[in-house]
Amino acid sequence: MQLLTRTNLQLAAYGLFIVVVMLLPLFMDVFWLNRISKYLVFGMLGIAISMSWGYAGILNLGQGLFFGFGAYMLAMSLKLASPTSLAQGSDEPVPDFMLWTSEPGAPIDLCCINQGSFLWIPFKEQWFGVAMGLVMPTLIALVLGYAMFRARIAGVYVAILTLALCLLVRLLVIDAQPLINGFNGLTDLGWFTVGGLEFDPYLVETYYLIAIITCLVLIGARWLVNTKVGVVLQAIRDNEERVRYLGYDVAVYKVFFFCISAAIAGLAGMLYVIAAEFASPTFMNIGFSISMVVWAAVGGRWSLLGACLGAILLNVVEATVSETETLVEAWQLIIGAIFLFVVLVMPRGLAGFIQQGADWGLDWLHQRVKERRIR
Amino acid sequence: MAAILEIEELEVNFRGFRAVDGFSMAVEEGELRVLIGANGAGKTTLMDLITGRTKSTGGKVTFLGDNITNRQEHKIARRGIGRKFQVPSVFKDLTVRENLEVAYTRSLSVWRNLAVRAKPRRVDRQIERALELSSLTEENTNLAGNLSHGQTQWLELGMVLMQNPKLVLLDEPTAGMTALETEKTSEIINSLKGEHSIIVVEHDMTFVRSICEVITVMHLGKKLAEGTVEQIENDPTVIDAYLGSGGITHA
Amino acid sequence: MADVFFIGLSLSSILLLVALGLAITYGTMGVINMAHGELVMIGAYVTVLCQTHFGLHFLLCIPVAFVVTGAVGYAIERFVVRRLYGRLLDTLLATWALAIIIQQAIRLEFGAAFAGLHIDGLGPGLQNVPIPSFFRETFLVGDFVVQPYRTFIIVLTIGLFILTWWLIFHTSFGMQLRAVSRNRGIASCCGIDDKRINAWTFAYGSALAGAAGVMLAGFKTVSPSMGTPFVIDGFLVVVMGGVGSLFGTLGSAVILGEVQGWVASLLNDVLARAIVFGVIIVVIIIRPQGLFSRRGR
Repeated sequence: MQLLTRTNLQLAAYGLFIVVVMLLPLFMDVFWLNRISKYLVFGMLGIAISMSWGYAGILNLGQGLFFGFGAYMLAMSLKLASPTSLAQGSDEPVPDFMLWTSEPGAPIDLCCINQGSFLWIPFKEQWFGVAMGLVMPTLIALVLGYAMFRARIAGVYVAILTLALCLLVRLLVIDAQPLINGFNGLTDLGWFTVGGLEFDPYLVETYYLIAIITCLVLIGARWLVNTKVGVVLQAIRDNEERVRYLGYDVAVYKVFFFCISAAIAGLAGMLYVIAAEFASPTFMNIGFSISMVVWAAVGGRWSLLGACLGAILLNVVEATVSETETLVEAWQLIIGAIFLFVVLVMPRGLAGFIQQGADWGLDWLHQRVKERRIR
Repeated sequence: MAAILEIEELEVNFRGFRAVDGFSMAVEEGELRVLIGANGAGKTTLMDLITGRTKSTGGKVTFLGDNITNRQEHKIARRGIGRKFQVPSVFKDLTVRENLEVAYTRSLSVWRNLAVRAKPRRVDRQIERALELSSLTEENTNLAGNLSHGQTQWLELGMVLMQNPKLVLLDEPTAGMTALETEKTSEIINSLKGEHSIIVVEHDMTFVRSICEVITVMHLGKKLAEGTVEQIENDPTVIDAYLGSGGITHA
Repeated sequence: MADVFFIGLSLSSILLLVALGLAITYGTMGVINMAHGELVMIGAYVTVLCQTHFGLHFLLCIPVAFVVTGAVGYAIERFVVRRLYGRLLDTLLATWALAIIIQQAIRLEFGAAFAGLHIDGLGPGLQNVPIPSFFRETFLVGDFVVQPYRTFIIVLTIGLFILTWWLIFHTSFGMQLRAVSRNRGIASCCGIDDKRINAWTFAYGSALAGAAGVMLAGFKTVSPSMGTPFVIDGFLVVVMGGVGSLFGTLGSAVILGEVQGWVASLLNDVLARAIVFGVIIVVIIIRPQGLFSRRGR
């Protein structure tokens, strides 16, 4: 009976999730695997939201900013790796769209095709794009987080600030037509390549790349919230001021989790580019950022696995429903209704609901065992 | 004995209103000092000033020889000043044990705490002692939000103890307690005496008599009197100041 | 110069019109209503429907939209917001869900689309609203071209601002509202029916959104998703001006409108909006209590 504790049940749920994710390729064709790998990426976003919102109480409505940054950084590298970039009349790769808007007679070379094009040069190396995809979101989160949390900005103000910054960057991206193809985003990308292995999105290997990283992120996040840092963070969510008088530098703790959450979102953005083969300013739409919060809320904001599963399940259902034309719009309506219901009636989400059921079951079981012993 | 805390001519000006006005006081190592005064005398503001919650507009606070005036809250806390709030402040969504674990501030940095497990496998004697002292051993896995008012107060005392500060500030630790609970609280405070320097803000004179050595009386942001319980109770200026509220014993 | 200033002022007036309702619901009640933009959209659709089905005069649509969105707002407060007082972020999310539901309701023509029916003026498409001819003809004052419709919006906005100010500071309803917004518990102990006050306040804030919707319908294409950008802009205006300060909202609407107008005339529209966001971010970080507010956070 010692095995049946709350923690062990949770661990079992994590284990089951990982096993299922690893075995899926046995049951699905590559078309669905590609879809599922995108939803796993959304699951990572759910984890990121759960960490910042559920554990640290930081509601970030601009998570799309970090996701988008990660996506664009890798997409720039992959764009240069695309065959069309090599077929622009130069030995070195040049993104096709740059030529559409370049001055007549401009040299076909990244150094000086237009004012900002030199920024692309280091992205010829894929590792640079990958590194930037992690570094840039973290760096932005560091600066923004530091400015916000030092000034003791909290709650709704954080939500508004992150939202405003996300929209700001989105507009800058749209405006930067010559540099990153503005509104149309980066398409026609090459494949992500590691040691000669090309990650074609419709390949089982690609699925496993994304699945394994998602599972690692899940495990890492779970470890993190179970360290003392995680508990201190929950204490901060509960009563920030009290924590300060214990001697903790609250701002540093918040910035730390904010950065981790941003780095996960950046990683997710990169994986999404590998699976979906494009990056676009729509990643920074408000709707997308708020959708992430919706997934986490429906799955359970206080549960990493719950938030992750919430994202995956909602997207799977959406994909299934969307195959019927008339249901597409209705699905949006249903999503709205589900979300409203969850916020009003079950603020702990599906995970909280299941947890409660499991707790109740465990209590009942332990009670029975006790009774039998007494007899 | 050397003074652990020295307050000199401390002053705070809230847009023309001086809540603390040229207040000076010295607390010695191991001393238990009680601070009394009518509502609005500036006791809680004084605590806010010491712990850095409110920034002073004049004067100086020296702690262990360091000038800590207007430093950031967590830095002052790290120097060794712990505080219990008037409204009990514990972390309601954490268990009693987790509350104490958070307050156990062996390590404060993010990086160090990454290596500390939230649920240590080994029993920690410090935590067991704090649980015992606050009579919460039975409740250790309960959420702090489910505790009674008195238990919450004790838990917060336990947290201050875990923090192991050199100076403890207690703001009305018996507010809203039954007589029995008050008695228990004075027991806890007495056991802290000697090891820690303590400043207690209190209204309840029975309680004050049960724990106290030296009393400082505050009035309108200034120090009115200082002395033993007997000296204070017979001090004409104190009686004068309290006349409206029926004498000090009912303050 | 005067042209650009006028364009800025006209942008300001729209910002203010949208933000005014939020200044009421957020500023005084502390409720973040993400469906505010959808209330603006409903106002616009009321105009479309009234014109296509009843041939109602454009100006008469204002009171109709005022009443309809007021009623919708009342219902929102009654069934959703009321259950979430004290849970600020949850209110934000719940009203966002409502926003989606309202948008889809218009797209699906309240379900009629499932039955294969079509209601003129609804559905996912774009709608245009003709404005009366006297609003369209520009005229000259000196060498300055006056656009009557834009001028009308500015005048109406000022009118609604004064009405709101009077309502809050010079009526007993306003006094009760201020009491409730300071301390709900104590206000209700004093015999103020805080639920009633909140419901009506929310209805009034929503009604203002409806009026804004009618005016927007006059120069923007009407579509189910038209409201979303406004709610964000509106919030930023209120927060930057200082929560709870009506004049702060006015001030920041004017500043942001002018900034956007000037930058747009020098660079382009997209960058102008980006710079407006930049200004807001900097202001919130430096002065979280808002530009014009004396109260703390």
